[in-house]
Amino acid sequence: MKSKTNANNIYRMDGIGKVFVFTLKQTFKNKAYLFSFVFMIIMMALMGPISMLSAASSSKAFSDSAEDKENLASTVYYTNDTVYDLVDALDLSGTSYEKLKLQYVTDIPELSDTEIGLIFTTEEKDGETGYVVKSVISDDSKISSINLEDFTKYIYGIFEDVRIRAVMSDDEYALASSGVSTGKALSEQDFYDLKDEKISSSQVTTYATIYSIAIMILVSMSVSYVISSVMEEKTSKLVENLLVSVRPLALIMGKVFAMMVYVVSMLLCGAFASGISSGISAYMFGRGSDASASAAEMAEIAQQMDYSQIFGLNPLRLLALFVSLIITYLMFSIIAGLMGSACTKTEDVGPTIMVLNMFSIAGYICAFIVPNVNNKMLTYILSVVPFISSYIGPISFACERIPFWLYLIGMAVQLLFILLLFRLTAKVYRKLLVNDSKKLNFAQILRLSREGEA
Amino acid sequence: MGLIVKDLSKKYGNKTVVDHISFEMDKPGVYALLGTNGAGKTTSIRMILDMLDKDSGEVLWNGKPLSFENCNIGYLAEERGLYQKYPLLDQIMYFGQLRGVSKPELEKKIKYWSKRLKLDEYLYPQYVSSVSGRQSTKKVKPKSPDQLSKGNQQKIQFLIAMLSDPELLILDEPFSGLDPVNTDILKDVVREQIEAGKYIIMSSHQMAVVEEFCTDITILSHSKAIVKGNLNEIKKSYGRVKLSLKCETDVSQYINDLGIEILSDKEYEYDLKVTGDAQANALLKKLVDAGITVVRFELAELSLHEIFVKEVGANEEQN
Repeated sequence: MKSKTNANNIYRMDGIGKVFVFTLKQTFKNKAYLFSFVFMIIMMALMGPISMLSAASSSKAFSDSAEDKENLASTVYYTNDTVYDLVDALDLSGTSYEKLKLQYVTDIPELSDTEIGLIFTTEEKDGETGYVVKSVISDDSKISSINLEDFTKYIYGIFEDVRIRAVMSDDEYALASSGVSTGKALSEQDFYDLKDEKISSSQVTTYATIYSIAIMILVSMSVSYVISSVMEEKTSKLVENLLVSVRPLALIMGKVFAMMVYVVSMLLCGAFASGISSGISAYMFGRGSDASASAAEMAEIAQQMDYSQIFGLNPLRLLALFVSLIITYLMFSIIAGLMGSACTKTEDVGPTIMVLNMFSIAGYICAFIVPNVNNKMLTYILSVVPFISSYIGPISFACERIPFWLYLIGMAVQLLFILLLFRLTAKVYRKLLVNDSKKLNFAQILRLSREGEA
Repeated sequence: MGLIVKDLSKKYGNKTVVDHISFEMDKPGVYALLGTNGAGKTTSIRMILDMLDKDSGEVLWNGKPLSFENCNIGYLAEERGLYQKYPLLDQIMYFGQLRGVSKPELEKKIKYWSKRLKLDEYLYPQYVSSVSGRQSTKKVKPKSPDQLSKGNQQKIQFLIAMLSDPELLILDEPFSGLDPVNTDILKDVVREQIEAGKYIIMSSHQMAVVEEFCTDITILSHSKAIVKGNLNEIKKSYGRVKLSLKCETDVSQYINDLGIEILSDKEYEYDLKVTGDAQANALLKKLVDAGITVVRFELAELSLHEIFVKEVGANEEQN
């Protein structure tokens, strides 16, 4: 009959604090870890100025483009065979082409390489007559075809405006030209969601991106540290000396928590440094550039990368995302610790990291697909399935796709899963610690927990 | 009371690595676990310390299941190791704190044991150089574990095992890899611990050392206990069968007449294997009656080494 291990003992956590403090202290004393920490902070601090420089360079491109419009041509000659009077309409003052000189002619003269000819005329095609706006340049023209095309479209817009105004009263024209946005294409779901003041699919994508990228960053940064830390006792051959003072669960969890704190503090310090450097850069670049165009362009760039809109969420939903993030990070760290304890050599670390990163990528993909599919049944089920629920649950709750009670059930399932991981870790780590044979895979680890031996 | 190890067994798959091993230590002293490589000594120790699951059996300390929560255990593992990149003092403090020793107490104990084990030049190099009068403008940094010899790393581990002043000390091959000077240092400490009334379990291949300290032994072979009990009783049970004889003339004829086996013979010095006291006395009488001068006549028990070789050898043949 199998002798029972003292169940009270294997789950005891006495000494976890001492393991945690020692591991964290030694991590910060270790030159390699310290270098990584400082390097990461410097890199994150540099991100502010780099993005500002990038924005400034985009802003310069914008200014250059404006300059191109102003200096497009020395003279623009135009002819008008239409019934419309274009003299007033072709007054370009106040527009980006205001420096261009427009001159009415009866016939377009021979053009120099800096001149444009504009022809407003009627043409017949397939038995129908219509208006045409053409622009002409010399064969050796210095004017780029792209700039010419932009200019032609702009002039065509003016002509169209004149044409419409000719058949409408001012009131009719005002009504026709206001309140219509052709820039937005809405899906039916978005239309109804917006109507019910729900969160749009683009916002869902944003939240899913922010949440799952945050997890990916934490996981990809942590797993190698956690695995290396957990392996340390085995590679240093002092496991047995430790096990007469501390239980395996306390040992592994103390180390896992220490590495989690190391990574989180590295990211927080990095974020703080990044914030300061961005503030300084914004002040410096802001003072150096004059163009209002630059501000507009920077605003446009900021709009594209604006992840801060997550802070616009209801505080409860934001809190749910934050709590879930921590719990998911804990879950990944425990799995990393567990898998790290099955490694015996440095060469075993790479494949283990890869497996964990694959898990994280799988979660990332689920976080994108499921909320966007927006199938109620699927969302509800996946919100309570262990592991996947750590992605789907919080995102769906944040996006108002599942109710609070379902989110809580998902969290409870998640915590239960973590508790099971704790128990598995307690059982397996104890056996793996004195196992110095070949690396075990996840299936072998699970079998070990059931059978008792590798 | 004391320590009771009852019916310990362990299998890996179909292979039995420890087969129903039992022993008791009802009073302080040294108990030796002996055996060839792979006989099951370290596995037994790991089960005693609850590092490995037992397939059967129990280990009791003062009537309760042994654990470090109810017994102050000091352990020197067979697999020596230290965190290679962490400062020595930091990790010694860490191990001590895990054993529940307070920081001020630890500082005192580390100083005491580093001096006792002659490790202070590695742990307190600044202090040692100032005491020895060596002048240096450079700050002397303590060595990291990877700069220490294996022997010194082993002494550090022994120091760690002693930090909590353990009542049960388990030493797995404590003297292997140590030079004679350090072996003597460690032997002195073990003697002190015996005098202090500690329970010590020792595993070793060095029979002479075991014989020096141990009162009780278990010899393991192929996962089974083949010899077990009090060392003196075991020796007595084999009888006095070793006769060392030195004469001034060739006496091989007398030896052969009595059917005594000659183990070695060199210039009238003989190592003989007798069946017991009676055969030895008969030989002595014959020699005296013949007027032969006997320079040395020493009848002795088998040494532990000889018992080990004899028993393990016999068991190997059976297997």
